[in-house]
Amino acid sequence: MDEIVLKIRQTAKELLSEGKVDEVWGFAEPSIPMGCRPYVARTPEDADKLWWDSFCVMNLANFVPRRSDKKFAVVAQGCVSRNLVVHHLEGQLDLKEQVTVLGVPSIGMLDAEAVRQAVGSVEISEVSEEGGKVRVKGLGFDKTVSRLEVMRDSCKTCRFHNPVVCDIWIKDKTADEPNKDKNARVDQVEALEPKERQAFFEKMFSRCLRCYACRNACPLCYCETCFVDESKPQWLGKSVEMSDTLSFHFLRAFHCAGRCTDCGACESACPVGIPVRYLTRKLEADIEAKYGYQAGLDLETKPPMSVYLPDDTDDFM
Amino acid sequence: MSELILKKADLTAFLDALTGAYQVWAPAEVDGVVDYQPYDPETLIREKVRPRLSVKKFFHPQRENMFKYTLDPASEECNLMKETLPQDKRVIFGVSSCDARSVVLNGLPFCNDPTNERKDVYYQTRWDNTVLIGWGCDEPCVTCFCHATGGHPFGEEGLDIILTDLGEKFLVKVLTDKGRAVAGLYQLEEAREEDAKSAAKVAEKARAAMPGGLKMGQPAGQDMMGLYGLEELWEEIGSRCLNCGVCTYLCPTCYCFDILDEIKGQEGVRFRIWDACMFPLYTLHGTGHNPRAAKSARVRQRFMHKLKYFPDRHQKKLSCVGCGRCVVYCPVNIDIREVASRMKAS
Repeated sequence: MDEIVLKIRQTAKELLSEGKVDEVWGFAEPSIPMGCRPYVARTPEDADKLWWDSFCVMNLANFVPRRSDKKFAVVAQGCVSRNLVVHHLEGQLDLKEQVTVLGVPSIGMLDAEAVRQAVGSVEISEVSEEGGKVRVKGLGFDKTVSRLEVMRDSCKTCRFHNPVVCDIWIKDKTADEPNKDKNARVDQVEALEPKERQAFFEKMFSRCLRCYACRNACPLCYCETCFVDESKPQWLGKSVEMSDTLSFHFLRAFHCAGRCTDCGACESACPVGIPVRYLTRKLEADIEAKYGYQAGLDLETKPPMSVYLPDDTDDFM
Repeated sequence: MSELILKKADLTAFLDALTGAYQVWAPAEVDGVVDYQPYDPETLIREKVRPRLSVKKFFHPQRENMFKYTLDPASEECNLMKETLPQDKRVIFGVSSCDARSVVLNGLPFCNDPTNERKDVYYQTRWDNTVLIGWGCDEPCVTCFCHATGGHPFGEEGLDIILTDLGEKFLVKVLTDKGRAVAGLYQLEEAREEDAKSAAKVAEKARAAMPGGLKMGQPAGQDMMGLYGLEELWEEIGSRCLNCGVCTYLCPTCYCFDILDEIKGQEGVRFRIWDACMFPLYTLHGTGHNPRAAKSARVRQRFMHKLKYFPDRHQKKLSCVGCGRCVVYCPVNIDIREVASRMKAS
């Protein structure tokens, strides 16, 4: 069995049997290849169900208890740890007192949709990894592709692979890439004329179903009632008219400005493969350019949009 | 009904022949997603596929305009609701048997409810105006389980024509008058007896390839409160469920909707849109009370509806056709096959 899985189980078992935590948040083995099954272990026996593979792409910061008295451990890559920091800064949890971070430095998670594209089929019966290769078997095919070819875009552009806060290292640290250029998508859109940009986004979001998987997979979207669900008064049309669909995505992206860690859970959750990070990446890039801030890197600096400083950028006023 | 032969080389010529009388839709890939698209011989997928979205959208579209009205006091028709009925005649090509069966199952609550003589005029009109050309599944998908829900990879329920892939040609089995009208638009030769025999063998082989041991029908007929009492199950699923609409919107047999008005200037439209029991707003009362406030209660509702309430009301038929879309695309791997097998009241 994979060493990471064994170490996660062993660590979880110890924490739970010693009563150091009430819950361990991780993943369980999925029922299908490339599945992702978040799981909470509450007893030492539960710990044997914990699992880890390259498709554990949901952000566990979205699942852990918020504003509760529970003590819990969380399996976390770089982005998940940063979202725990954002939760801490926003008063959703106390990272120092409540949370034990089980750090899994990331070598890049894989994208189920990219695997389907690479093999040209959704009928996949088995996926295995060895070295930098991914072997995919399915109805009438057996193909091997490189890891990089099917890596999630958010992982390809990731700068912080190691958890920024970690209590127990599940595997050895890897090298971060703090200066990596991650603006390819932003540059691509900014090179377009306004009309072309509009057409670009309208085409991208034309197949949006308004299922809200992107929002619900996002650790930042924890509002009790989302603005799209307000009914008294209703703020936004609820059908799949383009203006309503775009308003939902644009406003949600703005709400994530300065808080988004580019974890990519939104894209991984989308059932129709919409690259929704085109929007959040732009805001992340703007926040970095204007405020020199990247979300969730330390436990002291609040996100720029939630504080006021006399020397704030205000050239729009 | 008749059995005919369509050579694969003539497939686009056959579909071209339908385009005068019908809007023709067929599976095609756009931006990496296979879905039913307006037919185009250039992009037509010439093999059996399971489109990402089901045929539900042709019968119960995500937005269905129901009435239009004017609020203009100068108009004689001020404040009068005028019904807007869909008129298009459509052929949908390449439909799986599971998808076709969903049209009949959804037809139960919309048009054939045992306690309600009225038919939903929108669903019924679309049903009357749509011809489904099926393509039997000779190789079941990895996550399919139609056989465990009362279906068959070559099931004919809901289809007007079913094709069986015989290599260089299709056996075209015409099942309804609507199907006959469509088949009559192109010169198809009669099938020989051995073609029909080979087709039967293909169907048998496909059925035999389906996995055994699934118990999708188990929850039906069981005590409701007993199933409610499976707290460990509902809590475990609820703890990871995102409460998004992926399963319900991709599901061929989830048919819940909301009705809304939109008014622009003096002109108004009343329409219905897909809704999902996963959303808190679905059950939110005007008082602010929500009887399904917890995620676990909402996720429980979905499985109770599909596997318990629906069969109890509609001749023991499950509100699930085993297409497997929810299994593949649920972002947190909630697998209805597993849930059904665990829904056993103690």
